[in-house]
Amino acid sequence: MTNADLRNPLSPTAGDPQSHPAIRNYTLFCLVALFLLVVCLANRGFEWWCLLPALIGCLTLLTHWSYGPPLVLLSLVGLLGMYKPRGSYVGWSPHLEKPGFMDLILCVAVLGYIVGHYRLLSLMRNIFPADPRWRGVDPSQRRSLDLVKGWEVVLVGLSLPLWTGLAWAIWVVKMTDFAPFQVTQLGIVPPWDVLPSELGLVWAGLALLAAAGVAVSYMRWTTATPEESLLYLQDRCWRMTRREQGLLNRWLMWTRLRAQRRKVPS
Amino acid sequence: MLTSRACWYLFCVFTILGVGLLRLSPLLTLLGLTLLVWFTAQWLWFLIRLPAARRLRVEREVWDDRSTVATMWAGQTFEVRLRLLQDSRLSTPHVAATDRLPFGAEYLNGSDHAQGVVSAKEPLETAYRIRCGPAGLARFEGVRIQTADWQGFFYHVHFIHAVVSLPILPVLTPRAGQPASLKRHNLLLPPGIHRFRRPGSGSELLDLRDYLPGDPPKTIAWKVSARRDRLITKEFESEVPVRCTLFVDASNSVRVPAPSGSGPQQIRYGKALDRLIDIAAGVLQANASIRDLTGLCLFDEHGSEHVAPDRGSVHRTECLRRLAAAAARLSDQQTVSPDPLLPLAYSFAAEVYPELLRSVVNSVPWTMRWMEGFSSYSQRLRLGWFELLHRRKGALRSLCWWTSFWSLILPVSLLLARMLFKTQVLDNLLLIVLFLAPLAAFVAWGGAMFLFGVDAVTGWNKRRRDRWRKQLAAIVSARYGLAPGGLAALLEDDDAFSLYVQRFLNEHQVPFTLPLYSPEGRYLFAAPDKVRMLADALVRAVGRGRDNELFVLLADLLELDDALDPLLRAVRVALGRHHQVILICPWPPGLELPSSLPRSAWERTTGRRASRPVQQQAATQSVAHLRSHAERGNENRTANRLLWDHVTKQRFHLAYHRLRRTFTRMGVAVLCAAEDEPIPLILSRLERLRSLGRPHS
Repeated sequence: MTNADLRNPLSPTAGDPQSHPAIRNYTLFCLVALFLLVVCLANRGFEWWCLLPALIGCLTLLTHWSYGPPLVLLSLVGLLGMYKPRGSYVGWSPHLEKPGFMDLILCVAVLGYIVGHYRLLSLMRNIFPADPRWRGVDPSQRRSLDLVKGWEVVLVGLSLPLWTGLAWAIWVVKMTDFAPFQVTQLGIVPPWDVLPSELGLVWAGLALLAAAGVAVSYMRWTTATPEESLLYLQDRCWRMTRREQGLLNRWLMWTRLRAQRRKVPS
Repeated sequence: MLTSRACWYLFCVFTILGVGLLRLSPLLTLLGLTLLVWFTAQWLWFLIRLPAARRLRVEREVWDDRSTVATMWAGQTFEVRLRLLQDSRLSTPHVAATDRLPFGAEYLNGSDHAQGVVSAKEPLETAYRIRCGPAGLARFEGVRIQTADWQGFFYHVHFIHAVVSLPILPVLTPRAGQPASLKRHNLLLPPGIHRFRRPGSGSELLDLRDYLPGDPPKTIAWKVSARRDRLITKEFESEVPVRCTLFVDASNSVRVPAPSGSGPQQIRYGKALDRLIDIAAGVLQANASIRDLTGLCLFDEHGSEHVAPDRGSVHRTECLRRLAAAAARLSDQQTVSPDPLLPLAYSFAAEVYPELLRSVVNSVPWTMRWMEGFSSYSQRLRLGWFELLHRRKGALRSLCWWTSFWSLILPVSLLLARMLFKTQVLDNLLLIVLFLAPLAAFVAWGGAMFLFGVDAVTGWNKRRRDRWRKQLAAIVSARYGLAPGGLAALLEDDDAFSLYVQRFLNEHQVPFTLPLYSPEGRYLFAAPDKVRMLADALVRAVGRGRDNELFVLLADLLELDDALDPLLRAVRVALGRHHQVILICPWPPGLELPSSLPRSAWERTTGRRASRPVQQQAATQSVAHLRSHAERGNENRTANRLLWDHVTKQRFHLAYHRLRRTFTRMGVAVLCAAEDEPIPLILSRLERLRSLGRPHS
């Protein structure tokens, strides 16, 4: 037992964390989400390939590997974006088609797995970024198992359709007529000729992000302490005049050292 | 604020969205949108609740076994109870609070770490036990707060400064060999009063003598007078208290922390003053238990403060408070190289002032780290080639630009000149310049690129140290009122930076080690002024004293042979007035005790008794030689360090034996404070003073 374990009796290393109800609930939640994912992919005709994301998800879930969710998402990109299921004709269409009910279920499943796996990682590995001074896992950086309430998993499960529904609403409002490629008599117009007129959504999103950034920055400065404000002003001043100040101080140092040498002859 | 986990997640989400939009896949696009909407909602929710975490309040109480306390005792255990409160309607995100233990206190059990969600109704509480270290000051800095969401996507860390400073008083424990404090027989005098074989107003008969006019009639021994047929008067013994005055050295030399203990886990920082205070507290306790009078004089190189001998709990508490206050002072600043202090100070600042190290308020431009470097002018003569290159990259770049400039200007000027004056000399000169100028520019830029590459590969540690230095300089500059120009000055001036970093560490009670000797081999902590202060205080105490006084000098007088004369005169005055003097010499923790070397190493090796200046000169030269050797050779640092320690030890032993010889000649006992003997010796001397008869008879 490490020093950190001794300092933190709430540490999940006391006893077997795998048998804790919180870990069990979140693991089951993720497994159910992966099962739903398999069902949705199989429904789209992916045959055995539908097992690939679920297998990656299960393996990383059992090993508590923190790169599990990105791997599952990238495997989904590979499957859905690059791979054409055998026996099904996925014809190219210049417009985005409307997603079906099973697509919504797949989104719910993927989001459920992502949320569950990340919360599990917070309980088993670390909720805060790992301290580089620690070798291995610092138990004090985990979320304590005793703090997990039973309603957490239920709340996550109930909220998943909400986020999918919101995304679907955005889709309906903004992206029904989205068509980056336009077909003319001369062929397909390249996207860079069309995108400026079609990608208002992207511009809106960027503007929203910028506004949010400004708001957050303003909030931070309103809550800044006098020390932080003084440090900021000093830093600005130094950055603008550092070369001149450096030159000036080098001369001052030279003067001081020369005076010292004269005072104490070696 | 975003963790690496969130960055990976966002990368995947934007990949899904991009592929979905470009491939016109409704499923991928909807999936990407779903994940993005959920992430944005989580981010907004975290941001809304974060101010509540920044406004947390801390309540801390220190309990002994019964109630809360405002002072602590060295070596005792205490319980620290911590509460985190907030008044906002919204609860905080997930919060982990870690209380920062004061230096010198040892963690025992419980948890100094608490985590959870803090709301107005549910504060976060924790409790843990600590054991206090040596006497001094326990400074609780505050609580480090880490905030994150449950997925670990967003992270924020800040420190709630709730400074509480509690004095740690020296512990009072009964010592072995301490005289009984109970009156065991009716014939014995009450505690605190001792017989003294001089005529006085006591109750024990000392002698009989002839009656002298003026003697009180009640002292006439009538039966004896009748037998002898003349008036005889009884003389009684004098009954006086024993006084002990402790002169405790609180100068800079005994306040230098030194590492002790073995292994990285057991390492502790101790001061020579800790042991002196331990001895003083032990004597104080022993004397107080038998109602003897004890005085205290704290002196350093600037002055002295005196507490007159007295008895009683109020007097004892006052003495202990003064001792604790002296112990709380850390060593004064010395002009030493800041490099050894930099990791410690930066690590402490990162722990306690994380908000002041954010790049928004305390930035380090990448051009400065990679293209320019910090020149640090005051150390330029002591730098090696790689170090000089790292710090003067700006000058190198300027050289390249100037070379390019003249490579262009010179041919053009010559061309113009040739157009005006068509001479053979100009033609030849133009040819040479046209050949050499591009070559010079090429060599300058090529050489600079090569040197920049070398520095980029080898200078990783230097760049990290530069970043630490800039950020620390910014903090101390703002903290001590040097802004806005102080930052640039501290980057150039190593001495000033070192002094301010030491002040920063001292203010936070962070112990740090300093070299005892300068590069020239001079003892940095020798303060001759304190000898004069001690001598004055001793003479004043002799002037105020009566009979039966014991003066205990707990003073570091090593390497002060040239300045001892005033003290030696004062000691002679004290001895001439029939007082007793003991000298206890403090010893740095971790250094080998002098009792293991009965004769000085110099005498052993040379076989003859060398004079003091010769010894000192030899030791100084060896220290300077080793220092220069250690700076030159990096390949054998461990051997150099061992040699360095060995020479330091030898030098301390030589100084101790010289001091001992000087004082023993006068009949003053000299002891090393690190040994176990000082307290029993002082108590035995006091016992001798209490016994019947004159001390020197």
